[in-house]
Amino acid sequence: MKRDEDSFAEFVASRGTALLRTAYLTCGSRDEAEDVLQTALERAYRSWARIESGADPEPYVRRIVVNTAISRARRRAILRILPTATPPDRPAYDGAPSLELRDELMRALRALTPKQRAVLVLRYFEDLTEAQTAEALGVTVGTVKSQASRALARLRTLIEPHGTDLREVSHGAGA
Amino acid sequence: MALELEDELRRAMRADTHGLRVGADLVDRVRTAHTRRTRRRRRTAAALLAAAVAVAAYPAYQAAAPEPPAHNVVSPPGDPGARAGTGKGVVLGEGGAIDAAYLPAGAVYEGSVTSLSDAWTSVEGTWTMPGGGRLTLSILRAPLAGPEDLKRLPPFDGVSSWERVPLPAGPALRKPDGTQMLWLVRPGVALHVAMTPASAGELLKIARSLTYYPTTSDDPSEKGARSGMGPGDALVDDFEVAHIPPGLQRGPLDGSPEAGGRVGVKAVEARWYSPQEDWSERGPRLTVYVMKVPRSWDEARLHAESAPGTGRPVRARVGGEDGVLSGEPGRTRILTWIPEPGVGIQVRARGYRSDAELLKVAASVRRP
Repeated sequence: MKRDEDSFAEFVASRGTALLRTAYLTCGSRDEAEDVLQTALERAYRSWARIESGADPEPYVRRIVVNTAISRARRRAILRILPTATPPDRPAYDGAPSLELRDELMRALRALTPKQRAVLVLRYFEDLTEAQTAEALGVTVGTVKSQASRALARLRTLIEPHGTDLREVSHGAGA
Repeated sequence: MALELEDELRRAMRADTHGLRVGADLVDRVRTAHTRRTRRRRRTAAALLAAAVAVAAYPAYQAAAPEPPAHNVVSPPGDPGARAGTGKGVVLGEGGAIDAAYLPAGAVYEGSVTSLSDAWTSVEGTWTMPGGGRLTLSILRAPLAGPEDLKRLPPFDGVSSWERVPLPAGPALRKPDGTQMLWLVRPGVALHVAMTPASAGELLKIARSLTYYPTTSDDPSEKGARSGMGPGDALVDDFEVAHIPPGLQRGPLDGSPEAGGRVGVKAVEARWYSPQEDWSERGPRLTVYVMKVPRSWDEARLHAESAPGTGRPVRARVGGEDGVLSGEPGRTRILTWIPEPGVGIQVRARGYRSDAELLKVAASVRRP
């Protein structure tokens, strides 16, 4: 048990922050992300010896984190009407396209469905493969592909009406 | 060079999370929460086992079970767990419980985990041995007609050889290294005992000490014949959902602390969905919540707490009780009621043109 305790603490020390960031991006709230991570780690702690007997505990814990975050985000969406009608004020376009675009993207990311958001977080923040993403979410690779495609299309739709044309901005940033 | 949306999204996410760090006390908080939860579980398990024993004992091995030793108790003196039944450890599952009359000295209960798949359900209780090994006791529910079907259960189909070990209720299967045993206690229900190799010498003694108690009418073959569903499909916490709309299959069962959302009290959430649709898509979906709520709450208060902002609520009747119906017609419809003081039930149905299926499901929710 002592060995388990030590290895659990080491795991949290080395991977806790990365998992917290994934939880935050998936559920969209820092306070909730901390709660999600603690809940997920508690579940993992209960069966830590069994997890550890396998190779790497991180995929297992990440799966709990992401699915807990999705579950909470869905429930929040169901149980509370999210204030989407009045988006926060946008800063005036100040010639710093990348910063503005990133704000736009993060707002748009939070407007996606929890599952779509999770797919994008796992694919482009965690840099997981489609197969690893499918494993983490408990869905097929085909579902990951279709969700990612829809999510990216939705992101484009959400940012373009507000004058943030990705390609123009990107060209401008690179110029 | 033109940047892709994916690249910019990647940068945006990294920038947005740059300053985020876990607190230094996270491990301590996890351990403290785990300890509190384990204590709560043991108290609940003991109370439920006492009820199960009173309802109907199914003496799987009682005749051959050795006298439990006076020592080796899992529960400390004075703990309710030590007084419930005769056992030293308890595992509760959907519709059944295991009472272990013998466990090795110093075994410490760690908690239980429910798993659900298309083919089977399991509830697995785990104990840590003094030397660091582990013991798990599990109740498995699956379409099992006889002992040979056990070998086809997903967790065990990779085991190439089993030994047959006689037990009073019939043959059990044991792995040659002595680390696992598996046997049927009734059609559709199997018990599984597993230990890490260091403690495997105790396996047979523990197996012989187990008694299985059904807490409900849980013969899966009967249930399947009646409703066309698989084992465990229709049980949510202490309630049975006798009617599930055609074409839906059981999804995850969530008994975690966050189940039930902002109600903030214990809830169990069960979902059914169309297998042709991805979970997040727009296909038919049914969710049933069983919530433990303050006894002073009525259906209006439960609705206000658990389904605010879901459209204009109207009164409804569910099995003689007043309920609240809300939601958007043609999309998700929500029916909430209090079947008995302190218990709230909410059924959400999505993807149906009328409320007929929602009302049929709600009317079928009852204690088995």
